[in-house]
Amino acid sequence: MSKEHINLPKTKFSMKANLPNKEPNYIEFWKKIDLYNLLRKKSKGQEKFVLHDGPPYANGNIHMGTALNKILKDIITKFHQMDGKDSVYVPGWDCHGLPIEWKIEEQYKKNKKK
Amino acid sequence: MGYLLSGKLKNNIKRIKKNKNDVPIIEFRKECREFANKWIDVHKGEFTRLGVIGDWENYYSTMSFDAEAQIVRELGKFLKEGSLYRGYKPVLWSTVEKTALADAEVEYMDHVSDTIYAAFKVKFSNLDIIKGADVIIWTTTPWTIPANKALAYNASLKYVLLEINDKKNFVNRKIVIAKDLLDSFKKDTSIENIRVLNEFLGKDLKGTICSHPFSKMEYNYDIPMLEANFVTTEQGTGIVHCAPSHGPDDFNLCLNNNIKAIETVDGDGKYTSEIKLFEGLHIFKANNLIIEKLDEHKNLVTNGKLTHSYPHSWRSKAPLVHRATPQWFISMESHGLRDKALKAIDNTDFYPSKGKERIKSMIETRPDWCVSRQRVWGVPLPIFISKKTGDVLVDDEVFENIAKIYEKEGSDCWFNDDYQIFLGDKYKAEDYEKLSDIVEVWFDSGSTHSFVLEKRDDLKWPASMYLEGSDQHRGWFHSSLLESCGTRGVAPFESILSHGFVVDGKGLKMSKSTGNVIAPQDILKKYGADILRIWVASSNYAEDLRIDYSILDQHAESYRKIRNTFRYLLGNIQDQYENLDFEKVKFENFDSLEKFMLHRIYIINENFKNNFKVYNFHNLYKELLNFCTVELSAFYFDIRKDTLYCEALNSEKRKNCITLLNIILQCLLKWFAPILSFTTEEIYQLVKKEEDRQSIHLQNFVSVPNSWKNKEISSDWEYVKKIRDEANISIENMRAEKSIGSSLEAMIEIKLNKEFYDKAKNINFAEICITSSASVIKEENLKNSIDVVAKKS
Repeated sequence: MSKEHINLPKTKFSMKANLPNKEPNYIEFWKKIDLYNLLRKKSKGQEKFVLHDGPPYANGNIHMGTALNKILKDIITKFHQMDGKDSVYVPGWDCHGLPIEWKIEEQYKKNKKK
Repeated sequence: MGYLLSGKLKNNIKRIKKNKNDVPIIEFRKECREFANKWIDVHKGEFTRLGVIGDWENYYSTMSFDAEAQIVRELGKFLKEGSLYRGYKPVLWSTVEKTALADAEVEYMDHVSDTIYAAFKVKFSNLDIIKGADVIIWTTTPWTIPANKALAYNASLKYVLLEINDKKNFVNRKIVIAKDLLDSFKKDTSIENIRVLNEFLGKDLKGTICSHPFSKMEYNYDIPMLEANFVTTEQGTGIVHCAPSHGPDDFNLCLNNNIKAIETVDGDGKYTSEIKLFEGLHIFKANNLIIEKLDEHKNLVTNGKLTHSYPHSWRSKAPLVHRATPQWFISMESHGLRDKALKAIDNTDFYPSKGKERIKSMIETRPDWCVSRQRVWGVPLPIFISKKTGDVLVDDEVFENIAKIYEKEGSDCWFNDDYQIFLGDKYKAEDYEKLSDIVEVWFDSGSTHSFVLEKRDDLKWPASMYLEGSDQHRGWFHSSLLESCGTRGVAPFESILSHGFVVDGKGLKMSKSTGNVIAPQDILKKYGADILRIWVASSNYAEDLRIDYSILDQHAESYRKIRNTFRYLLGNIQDQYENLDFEKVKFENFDSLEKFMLHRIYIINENFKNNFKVYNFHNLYKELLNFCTVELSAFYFDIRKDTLYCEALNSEKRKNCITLLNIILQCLLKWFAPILSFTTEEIYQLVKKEEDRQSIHLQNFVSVPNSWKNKEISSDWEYVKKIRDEANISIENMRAEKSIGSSLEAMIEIKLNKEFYDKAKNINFAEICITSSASVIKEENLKNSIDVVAKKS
């Protein structure tokens, strides 16, 4: 068989993933097309699935536990969305309480010492 | 701390510049609000980086003005009902933070406590033999002795009257302890000279009155002996010393016997003037003095140390104490809250199911909910107390008035000196005292359903699901359940999903000191969010979830296989993707192999739906990965490589194969989209057509026609696959011996028994096994069902 008869695979999809660099582009893309509102528009009138966000405390960088929690929520929200529902996710934050009061107190104290 | 440097704040501090108690509350709260806002912004960036799609523009927060207003309305409902009451109760108190702590803020850690065996002299008893004897108690909190008001015994336990001689404080003195604890008493006190004089039942102690061990130091009041079931023979002496201000059991027992708790210790942890001779002494420094005084008055048998699990503040790690304080409580009983909550649990679905029992047992036994805090950063309890009558002002108009004001300007204004504005024209500020407590944060978050789910048109009440770490059975799940059952009679959720904690690869808790912490930021930098998402999907969240770099490397390797599967599909269709309507695909002329693959897609999709229905993602992901690596790469793709590469573009066989590749691509894209949110979008953007939806996430899952299910072909192919496996072993052996290079250099002879032969006789095994030729022979008396001989062709 001659070479010109071989249908070699051809794709722009690269073998190398390079996710850390590429992923932010898609976040920008979703923002640009306003994906969240497109989803609402598309599934308007469908049965609702509401995963109500338990508010994380608004203090400190996220850790593995928070990442796990948010990704699991996102996976479930997306599953119900693709299953044909209007699957709405509204994130929230818990803001009152001692941990923040403590931070502010510490900062006042530090300032006092100076 | 960049925010500390803002000019505005510097000025504030210059002006305030004293200790925190002197900082004006409203200024202080402003700083808290700014601090929280700063972190919300940081979190938003971090969460979106994970690929989470949500309404990031219109998020909710418990400190928004609307939220603060609604929290007031919710509290008003409890006040109106009468289930929110003022009590004087021992609560777990931190003398460092100077506040009561919620259950969820308490950590149990080992703590070394002082222990004492102390004597209370019997002043009067109906049991003649114990008159003049000493009743012995044991405690790990000697500092509570000055607050002692009673002794508790168990009516059904056996007690003994002993004569002991320790040649020190107890020379030929008679004492009373529980019979079962005699051995441990001997061991702890090392007293050898012990004689049992009498034995009697606890109920005989009824009516006995003792004197306080400090009776000669102005503690000259009666100490009654009271019957209580909580007294056991687990530890101590079978007689429990009761300080109603310093323990819930003590408090309840004394209350039932008309002995009231009083304020014995102040917020800082110092004895109040109620405690004679020790006033002003800090309780954590009091043990030695108490022990010394007991010894001096010859009422100390012995003292020692005990390491045991003890409550600590999660924040300051300081040991906590029970301290009687005026607090506000939501009653579990007065309006049937406990029953309502238990019923609501029964009507909720739990994933995993063990969550149901967990929260149920907590609700069954929990005490009244203490909702007040003596702090400033929170929603103030909307309570006015009449100066004349001491009654709480309960008036819907006032609660609504407060809520309306908060909606406009937030709750800071509560702390202004002028509070007539809240009372309207109906009441005069001078007739009322304004409470300065705030409501604990668990009430805030327990009310999110009211100011988020109920208020927003885009949401629904109750929620379909609450999903948090399993610690939230006593946190958010719990407080939301109680808040909603108290105000609405039912739970604010239809289902609860709880997940375990993240631990390292060996199952150990992550901690800075162990050095085994992995931050999501590191994973994003090294692998990307899709790998992290695979880790989430593939882990069994019902248990603790392990993670380390070797686990992540394995997931990255699986990802590579999935990516290569996609790449094979895309390469062979040359990025010319056709978004086929599965119902319209004509497959009657497909080869049996393609029909078998359609059947497999039908089965995988059924499993996919079933796994998703019960949120069994780790099985779901495992099946998809297996489909890619075993059924596609190592089987279907391998077999069809030749057809795809070599057959003419218009050959029907090749065209059918391309159709199937399109079908598989569509299935994989949609199956994987919720997990591999980025990669599936990358592919979708590459192949989608103008008229297609803008994002893979705007697609619905595939619907696979029932007609693709084909049990007969599937059963045949189970035989064929077994034969292929056997043939592959023979070919592999030849390759291992280096007698051939590729399988195409081999010819195979397949002998089959009747059963296998009937199923596989029409199969082209040269194609299936990728050999130069293959012959199939039926042989009735075959030892094994399959026998394959491979030779060099």
